[in-house]
Amino acid sequence: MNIEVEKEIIHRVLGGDKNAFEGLVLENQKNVYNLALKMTRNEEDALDLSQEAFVKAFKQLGNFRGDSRFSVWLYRLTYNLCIDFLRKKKKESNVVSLDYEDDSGEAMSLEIPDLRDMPEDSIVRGEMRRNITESIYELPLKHREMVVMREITGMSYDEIAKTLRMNVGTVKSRLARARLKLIEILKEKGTFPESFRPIIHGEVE
Amino acid sequence: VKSNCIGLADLLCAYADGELAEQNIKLVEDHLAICENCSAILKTYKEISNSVNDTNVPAPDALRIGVMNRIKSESTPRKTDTDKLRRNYRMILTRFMPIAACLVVMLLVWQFWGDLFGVRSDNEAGAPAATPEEAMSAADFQMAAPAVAEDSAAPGGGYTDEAEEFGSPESRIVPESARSAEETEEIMDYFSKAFAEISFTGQLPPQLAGTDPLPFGSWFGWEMVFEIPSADVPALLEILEKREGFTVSYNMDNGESGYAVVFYSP
Repeated sequence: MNIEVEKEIIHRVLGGDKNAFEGLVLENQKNVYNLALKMTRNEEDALDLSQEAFVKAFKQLGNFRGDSRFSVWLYRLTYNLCIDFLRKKKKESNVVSLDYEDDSGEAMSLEIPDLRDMPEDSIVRGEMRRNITESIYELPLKHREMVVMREITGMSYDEIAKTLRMNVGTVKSRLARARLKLIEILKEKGTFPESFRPIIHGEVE
Repeated sequence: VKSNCIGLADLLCAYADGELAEQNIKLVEDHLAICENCSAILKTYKEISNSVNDTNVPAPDALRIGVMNRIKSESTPRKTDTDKLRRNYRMILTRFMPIAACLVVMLLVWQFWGDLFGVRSDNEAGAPAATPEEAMSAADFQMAAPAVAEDSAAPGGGYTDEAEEFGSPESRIVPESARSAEETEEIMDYFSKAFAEISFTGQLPPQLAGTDPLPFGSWFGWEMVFEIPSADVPALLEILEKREGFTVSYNMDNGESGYAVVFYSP
């Protein structure tokens, strides 16, 4: 959807044509849903959260200034809802451990005991792909959100920086570390195809 | 080679994302040409991207349907009129800024004047023709009283030319609150009583060393600017804040001591 069409839709919605909002939902629902899904790893939660994000976007559409693309603004809403949700969940139960430490922190873990209802199971196309997806969940949140933001939404570094409220340099280095870590995890799983089995020089972080 | 690779980690990642600055592209490509590992890493990055994209699932219909149902009951969002906010802000600026600026200038002039006066008083105190008491008698500050004005302007009254210029009674402004000598007397009394309660620790300035503190009248009230050790500020504040009409401000830039401005408006 080009930016002019987007603006036109927003204009119509603000003018009272609620049905026009469907255009924005159709355009963005896949990314928003997958963003929520990769953050929460649960279809039901992802559905709730992405619905919430769209409704919130509708209610606050008057505040959208058009400085960024609508999608980026929407991703930010989604991301914030996911983070709130994860924090709340962590508080409520100790089953999900989401240690979010700063860059210097080492102990980071994500433990979700029940792996049966993995939404990706139905669509995996091989061990390699499944392992990559699995490994993303094993990343600490601060790294996972980087990979998810970049790979799912395709946002530029600058847009990610704005969405996550950090500077571009941090995005750059954190994303690099996230990917290296992902490779390490994949290596541990031992499922790298012979063709690319990278050796990481030195320590990551 | 190892340290090179680690150093290139960020660049390689940005390169894979097409976010690398122009000047670094060649650097990375040159390295990739000679380093198998980094080439493999790059390949893995691409594989990761593809995998994530492949594992993206279509959003369930329930999402769209749920959203559209829910917004039916919501009222139409209203555009936040940022222009209006800006206009209001501008109006505040244009209407009130000149007034604020005038106030600031007046305050500065007022304070500067007070400082000047303080210095002059000290000089005057040392002048042979006038004892400190004479130079700084309460009468000196009775700007409104015509009799006092005559006295002070009389030859031999103890004023130097400088004093004439800066501190002659005619050049001063009379506070609204002190139209008569009696009233001035009352103010002096009020001041001296207030200051008598304060137990100062340091070497006191001439205005305070005598029995009576001597405020200086202005349009707004009575003011006294004097040097004071910072150790005495708490005592000054404590006593004067208890009394009606006093405002104390101070500036302890030197650390050990500084200036206090005591303002009194009945």
